[in-house]
Amino acid sequence: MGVTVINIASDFTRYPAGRFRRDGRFSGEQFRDDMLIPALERATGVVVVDLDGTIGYGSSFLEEAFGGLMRKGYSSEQLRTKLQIRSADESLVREIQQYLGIHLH
Amino acid sequence: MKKIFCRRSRRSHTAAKRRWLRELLGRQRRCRKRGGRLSYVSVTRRRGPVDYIRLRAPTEIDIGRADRREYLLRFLRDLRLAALNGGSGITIDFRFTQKAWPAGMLLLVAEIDRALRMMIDRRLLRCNYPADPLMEQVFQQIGLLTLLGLPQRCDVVDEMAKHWRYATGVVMESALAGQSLERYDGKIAEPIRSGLYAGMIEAMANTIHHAYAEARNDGVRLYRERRWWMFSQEKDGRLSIAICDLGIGIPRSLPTTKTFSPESIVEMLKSIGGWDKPDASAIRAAVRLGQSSTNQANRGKGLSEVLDAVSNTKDGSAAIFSNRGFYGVAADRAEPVDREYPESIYGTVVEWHVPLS
Repeated sequence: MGVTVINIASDFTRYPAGRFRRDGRFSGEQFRDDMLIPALERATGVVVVDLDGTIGYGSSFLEEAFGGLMRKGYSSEQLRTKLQIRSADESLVREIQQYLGIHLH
Repeated sequence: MKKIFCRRSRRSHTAAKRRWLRELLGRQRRCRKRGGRLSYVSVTRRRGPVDYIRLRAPTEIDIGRADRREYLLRFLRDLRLAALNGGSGITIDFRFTQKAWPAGMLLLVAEIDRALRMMIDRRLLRCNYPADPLMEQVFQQIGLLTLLGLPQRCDVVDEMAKHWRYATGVVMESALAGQSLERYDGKIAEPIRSGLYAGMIEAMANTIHHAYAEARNDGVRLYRERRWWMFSQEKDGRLSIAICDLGIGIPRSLPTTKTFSPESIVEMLKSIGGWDKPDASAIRAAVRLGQSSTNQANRGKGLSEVLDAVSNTKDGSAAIFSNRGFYGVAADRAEPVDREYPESIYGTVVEWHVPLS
């Protein structure tokens, strides 16, 4: 079972912002639908999302990108086993955990 | 001339203009009777087929101190009504302008930019050069003179002027916000930079999602663009950033956002109290609701994130001006402060000040 790593800074953008596509480029919705969900569907193992390297994150981006997974039909149990968040900033990991309502690895 | 008046009949245009000029001249007369200094008074003169109103810009452009704010907001009201209802040409007289603070300056530029976008003939709004050389350099640096059709005639060399930056947009320009901070790499710690970035893009998000939900009720016709304006300035070892919208303001948008239930808003307002300063209390309520909502579905931190930007700094500060209210936090002050002004800015200005190393 391979591990899929998504580094937001190198694979998506250094400047993530906004909730919806209509808000502008590099929104949470765009990241979730174009990168995160396809990776979760394709991966046979764990998907690791690396948050480091960007200039920062707004909560609306994080909520839509990760909290939005629940609204797309993913359960907490699925995400617990399939998704890992990696960041040097622990507060970001905790914030995403809150949006998902679970404790990730 | 025909083009200018095409949106209303000549008769109604004339009546509106006369009414407006009468009010301006009456105010000028009353001010003179009181022996007051004519710091925003307007005069009219005929030049060609169009009446030109000269609006004297305030000496100090600021929305923080009550007396300066009063002058600036009265000037902006005159500008709005004359540009968009009066049907006259306008000359903004900047000769006496000597000082500008980022929040006030941003509001001024935003109002001018909005008026120009709404005017049928942009050439009817123009200005003269400030007498103060520093102010001229600042105006030139932020593009205000070009916006009003004046050629640039000096080099921006003063340290106080050349670090002003201006931007505007209708979607979230995350790269622009990010790059404006990356300019200070090495001078600004990474946690502060990421906090500021988060605050800036959340302020832009608030503008796009909530600020223009209803009419502004500022006496002129509806303007539908969801536009934000931004300034940054480096001065005396501090970075100042301000973002502004000309929308309905937080006190009006809070009940309409659907982010928070009406019951939770009422509960929060009851716990805050402060009925004598309703707009400031509404901002405080919006901040506190944002702080308590991160564990709920489909909600971010909202306004609290905007202010959190300075929590990692030693002596940084952040403030929100919205309609009549003011709410400010500072890293070296335990309690936030709030204030209620008599006049509304008809919109929201968020500003941050952080130290640079």
